[in-house]
Amino acid sequence: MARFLLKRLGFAILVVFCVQTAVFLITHALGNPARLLLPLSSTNAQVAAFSHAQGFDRPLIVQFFSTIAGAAHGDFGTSFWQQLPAVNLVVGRLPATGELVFFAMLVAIAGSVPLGILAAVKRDSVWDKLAVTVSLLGISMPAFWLGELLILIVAVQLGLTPTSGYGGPQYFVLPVITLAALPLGRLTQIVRSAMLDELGQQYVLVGRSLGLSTRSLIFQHALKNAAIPIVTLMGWELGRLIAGFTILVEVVFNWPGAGLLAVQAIQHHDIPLIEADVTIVATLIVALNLLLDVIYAALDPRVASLGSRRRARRKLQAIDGVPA
Amino acid sequence: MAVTTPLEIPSFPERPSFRRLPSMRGMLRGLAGNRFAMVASLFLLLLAVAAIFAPWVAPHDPNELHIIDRLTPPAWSAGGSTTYLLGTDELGRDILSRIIWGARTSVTIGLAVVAFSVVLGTTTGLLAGYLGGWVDTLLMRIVDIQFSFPALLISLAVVLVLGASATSVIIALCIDGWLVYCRLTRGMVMTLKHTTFIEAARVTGNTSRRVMIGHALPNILSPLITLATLEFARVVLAESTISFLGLGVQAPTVSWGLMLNNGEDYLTVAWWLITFPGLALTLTVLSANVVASWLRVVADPLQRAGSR
Repeated sequence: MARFLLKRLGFAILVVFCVQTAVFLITHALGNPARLLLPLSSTNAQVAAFSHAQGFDRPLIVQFFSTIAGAAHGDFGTSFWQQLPAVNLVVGRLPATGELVFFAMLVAIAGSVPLGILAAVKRDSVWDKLAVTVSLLGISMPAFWLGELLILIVAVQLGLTPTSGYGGPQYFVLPVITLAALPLGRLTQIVRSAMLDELGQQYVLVGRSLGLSTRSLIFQHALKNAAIPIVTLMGWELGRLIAGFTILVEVVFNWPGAGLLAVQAIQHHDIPLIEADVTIVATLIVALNLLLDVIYAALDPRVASLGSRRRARRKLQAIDGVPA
Repeated sequence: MAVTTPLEIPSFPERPSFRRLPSMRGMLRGLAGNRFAMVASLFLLLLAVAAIFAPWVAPHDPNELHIIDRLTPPAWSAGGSTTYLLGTDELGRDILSRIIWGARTSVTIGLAVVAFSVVLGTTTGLLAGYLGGWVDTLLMRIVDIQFSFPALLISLAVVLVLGASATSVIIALCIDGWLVYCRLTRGMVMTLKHTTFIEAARVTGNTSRRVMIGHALPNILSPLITLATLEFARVVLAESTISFLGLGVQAPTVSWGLMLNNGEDYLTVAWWLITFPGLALTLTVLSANVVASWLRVVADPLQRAGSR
């Protein structure tokens, strides 16, 4: 178990390091950061002076190690745009993003589990059709468009909620719905097909012939077994939300989270802030994956081998339909 | 709670589906039987026609300004005019024409990214799966790491550095786009490697390259096509996303994402600015998803028999 945890931890650190390297290469090697930061009209001499002042004229490898060393101490430098330490800016924005993600996941789970079960149990009924419609729409509707439509209809036409901004509960309604749409669609699909798989198993037939009630078959037996892929996918969806799907929702609703900050940093060509934001977001995702691994290992001792999560993911994809 | 017996659903063990696509005629017949997939395919066809023939199909030039007619509502609502079927935007540009030209942008970028990713991903996947060894280990590590990458943020950073343009968007989306195909191909080849016909092909003296291209590749074609269709939807969505954030395609090129970005400022006065481009985008993604799931069923007779 300790060996397993150590291995996963090592991999997590490797991932964060790779993300850092990728961002560094993109911002420093692919283009000239000084050119990116200064106005287009600046002269070559100005660019050279600025490069020197910021240390952009040092060899790439030196810059790379100073960036990594700084990041390891939680120091990403000062934001060019806000003139504040980049880390503090990002960390200050995390709570707003966290709230959004938390409530969106709550809505997605509360909606998808009952709907998916109903759809699987009453195959080809109205519920099944509703589940298919919800999942298709959730997957196909771009978040920014859904957000704009909700603003147009609910906020502007009906005047029920504010159009954008951050504040009391009324401000949460539209962004949460918008963010929940995609995981809701995908989770509904997974709950449905996982339940269908379980209900087709022999043990359900045996249970039925032994006289178990339909209710207990569904909730105590089938759902319990279907829970493993469902819970895995919930963790996965959570990771995806953090990884980038909040960005659009935050931009559309002007929500003061880390995603909006990332876009603002990019628009201001603020390299330290971009690096800080991307690295911190990646660290969060990796930490989440690590946490999920630990939970799995605690739940099921067989999991404590390195390849098992990969195997579980492959199994999921078989259910999800994408051939793995 | 009355339940219709759920026991009729047969369950199949996990199995790789190495099945060739059925004949063209068989597919068309199947399409006629599935109304949903039929409509979706027709929409994609319409999209292709709009993309290819945009200059002839569009009623106006997409960048032609009609300042006097700015913010004209669609033809059927009060104040609308049949000159501009779906209305005009804040500069008096015809929405319908812009949607048609936007289709051209989406389809071009979608196909370019998918084509490049398929070629690179399939090649590396074949090599990794067939040859194994350190290439395989390295590739799979990359695939695992990419799983934890904040992909959208990385794409945005790439586009920022390369400068906002259609080419940058294509490059940014290709960077991580090929990994899915690599993983898929590798997995299927690993299983295929131990089948009798591949062994037979090897024993009869075919070179490794010939076995891979002539024997392994044709057998993984149908899941590849399914995945490519799904990925097309994802890429179209990603392009609009980047353009929506103002970092992708730039005017005078028309993009649905860019239209949605502009329309946001006029949300309170002109609902048609965001409604129609968003609808075009959603229908495209939806159609590609529906066609992909239909392809999956068609290519897999066991599923067709009704497992799902």
